[in-house]
Amino acid sequence: MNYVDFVRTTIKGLDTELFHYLKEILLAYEFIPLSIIKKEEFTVLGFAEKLCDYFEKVELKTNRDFDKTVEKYVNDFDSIIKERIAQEPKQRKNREKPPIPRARKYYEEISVIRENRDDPMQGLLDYSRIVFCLYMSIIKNNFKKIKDFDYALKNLSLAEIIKAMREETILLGKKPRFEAIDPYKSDRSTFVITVIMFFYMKSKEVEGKY
Amino acid sequence: MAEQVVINTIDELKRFLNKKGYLELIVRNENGTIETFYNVFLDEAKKSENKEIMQEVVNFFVENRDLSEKSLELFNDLSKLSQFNLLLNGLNLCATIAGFAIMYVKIEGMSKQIAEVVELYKEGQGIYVTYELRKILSEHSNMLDCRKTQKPYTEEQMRTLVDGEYNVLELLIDTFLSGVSSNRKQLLFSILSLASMFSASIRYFDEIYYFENKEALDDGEKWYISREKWWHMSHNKWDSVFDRLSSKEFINRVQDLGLFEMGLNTVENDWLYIEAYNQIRSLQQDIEDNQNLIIVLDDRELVKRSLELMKESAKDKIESALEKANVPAEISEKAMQVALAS
Repeated sequence: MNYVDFVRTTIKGLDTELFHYLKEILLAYEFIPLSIIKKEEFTVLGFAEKLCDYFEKVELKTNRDFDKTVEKYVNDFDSIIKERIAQEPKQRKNREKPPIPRARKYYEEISVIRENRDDPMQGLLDYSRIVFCLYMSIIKNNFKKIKDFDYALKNLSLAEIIKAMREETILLGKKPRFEAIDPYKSDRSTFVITVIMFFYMKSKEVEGKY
Repeated sequence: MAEQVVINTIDELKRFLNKKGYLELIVRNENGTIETFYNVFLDEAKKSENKEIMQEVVNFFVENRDLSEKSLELFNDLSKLSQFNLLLNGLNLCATIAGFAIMYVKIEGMSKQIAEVVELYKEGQGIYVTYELRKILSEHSNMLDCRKTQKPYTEEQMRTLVDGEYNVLELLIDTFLSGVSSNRKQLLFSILSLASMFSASIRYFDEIYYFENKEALDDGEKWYISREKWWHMSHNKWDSVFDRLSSKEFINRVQDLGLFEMGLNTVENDWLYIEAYNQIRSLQQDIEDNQNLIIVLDDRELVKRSLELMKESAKDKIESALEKANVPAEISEKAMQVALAS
């Protein structure tokens, strides 16, 4: 997958409202830096071009192609959820095998889902949906281990996901998990892909009360 | 000169049926010219043809095609029509085309699955399950027949039917939730269709109960002050089924089914579980709408006529739903023939 196809696929299906929020969020958090143009002046195509320029710059700065940037996004999410999914309980002697926690079943499945060779974009969408939902449930559970999770798209909050990601730390809380200063570092691109994938997901949302 | 044949029974006519299953008759004028052609269907042959058509439609929706967004949309569009089951009276089928027909065609397979669960629970009732299912389907058809032919179907019969449908539905839900069933996709559609049948029975029961007892139930209070008083106690059973079907546990299982067993992607899976949930809610809404219709019109004949009018408008909606789902014209036409058979 290259970034032009990625941007084209994800942005073209957005309606006016979703596009507006995508742009507002990427710019409000300063994930995408602007030098001259004002945010109101962006058309959909103009903003898509800006995103392509952004990913091109990330490629140049990190010396890695877009596939690697996507891989980094996948690994980043994996690193913040994997320890927070309850493990499969061990089977006791002469006892029936206990059921695998639902969240674990989905977590185990995401690597298979991600490898959608026929349609890599669908694979990435499916992967993102499940990790977002798992992470959202972790957030709601005060970052403790989860056994079950909420799969509903309508209960996802992008603001809460971004906030939680920005507050993630490593080294016993001494260092932020994600580097946020340089906009063209691959850590920052994980946020950009998160926001784009969220709105891409929303553009395919099925209406319903559940 | 043509061969002369003496016919004593309808069976003897069968050998003259053409490949399409009907008898072609020509009526001539006195001068020998052809006045008109008739295509004569023998009742039994037509029924079996309908069964085949139904099978074909079911195959289209369930077996031969992957569950696509379009077919799920269609499934929902059709099931949203509360009056839809009325259209299927001709074949003694109710609920949705797909749902009920699956149950009808797959009864053997389903019984086996339920029997497995019952066996697992060691309740020793497995052998009765097939019998119970058959009994319920047949009794539901009988009830629809009575409505169609305006024969009496008593409050007591209705209560027995509703109890039976409730018990079988509970068994199906237990089976689905237990996770041991080998074909839960089929089971899910069966549950939704039986829930649809159950909701139809509750609605008809409401009608009978209200018009049979309204004088006794009327305590002078405005009808909307205590709505429950007008309706039978079987509503508790419906409420309990509705609660189970719209519960987080049930919906979680539907989500798991779509992703792990049916191989749907996340968008298709949303269609599956959200439409299933919407359908369950619409069944509840149908019951409430029907109650309002009964109580506001307060006249048995008027209620009947209103339902007839709805049936007419449903026809267009079904046609447009089939068209929207890109169902091939040939199958669509057959589906309509079956749906509108009288």
